[in-house]
Amino acid sequence: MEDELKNIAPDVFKQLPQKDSFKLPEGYFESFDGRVMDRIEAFGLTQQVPLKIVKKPAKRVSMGYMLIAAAAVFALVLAAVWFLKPASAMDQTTASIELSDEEIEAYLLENVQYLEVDQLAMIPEATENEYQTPTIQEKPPQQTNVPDEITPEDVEHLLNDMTEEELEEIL
Amino acid sequence: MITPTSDEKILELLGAAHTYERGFRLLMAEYKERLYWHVRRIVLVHSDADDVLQNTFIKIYKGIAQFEGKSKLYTWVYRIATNEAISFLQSKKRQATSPLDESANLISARLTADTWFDGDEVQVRLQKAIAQLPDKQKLVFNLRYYDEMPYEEMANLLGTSVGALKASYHHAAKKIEAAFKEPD
Repeated sequence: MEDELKNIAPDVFKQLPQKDSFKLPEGYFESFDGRVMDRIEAFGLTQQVPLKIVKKPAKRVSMGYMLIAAAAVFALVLAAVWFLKPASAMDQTTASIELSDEEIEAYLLENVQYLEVDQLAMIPEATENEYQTPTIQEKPPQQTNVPDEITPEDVEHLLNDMTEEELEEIL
Repeated sequence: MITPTSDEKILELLGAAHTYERGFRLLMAEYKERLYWHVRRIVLVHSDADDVLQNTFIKIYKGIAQFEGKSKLYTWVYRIATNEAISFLQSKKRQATSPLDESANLISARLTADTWFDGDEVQVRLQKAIAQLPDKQKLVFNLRYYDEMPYEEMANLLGTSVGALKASYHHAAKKIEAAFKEPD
């Protein structure tokens, strides 16, 4: 301690003789308790509310919050999967419906603006006829990290990583 | 010596109406000396320290139910004593009829007039310099210089980081050094 003060303020340290110049009357502490209790009695404070230290339980996320948060997270993940997955309108076309070439061509010409690039790329090369459409460069499929399915364990991990405030923000 | 067991015993006694006074007396026995010197170094004069200390314990007696156990018992009573001492000084400043009344000269006059102060001129200068520090720096300096309290313990008591306390002590010591260099 002396070294500390010596380093910070050497001039002060040199001059300080003793540390404590404060004195007090003899027997001061022995009589102190009685004087305090006399004052307490004089104020009429003798009946006081006893101390009750209540140990608060550890903060837990309530089940209701967890369920709502799980639903919110699940909805977010579904939305992410939906928007990031390539549109699959044309995936639903099946061979069970038989259409003539003319019907297919008419349909395509009518709905070409609604078709995605990769769907157009799926269309076989046009034969030599007046309805030949130019080929369009296919874009590579987007890479995503979205899992194919969300398990309850995934939801639990996500919830465990979140604080109550973050959960409240989502809600 | 204050031990965790003492605090447990005190809190147990304070937890029941029929042992409340016993617990309070035990609390006074444990902490009155340490709190007295803490208060005395803030208010300087013995009679003022006596008043402040009594008020502190009366507040503790009335308000023990507010202790939530989030900190150590000493930390809680220490804060009450500190607030009482600083409020006392602020009340004295408000009573001063002019800014000059609360100057270092008044502190010097009060010290030399106090029967229970037997320091020499250097000690008077030191107390004047400490009295003019900002409240937080004053507390830190007193705890470090007089009580030789480790910074880690001080950090728990004052709720401030060790780094900030070291900086505070450094600034306090530098200000005291500057005050010593001024002509008296």
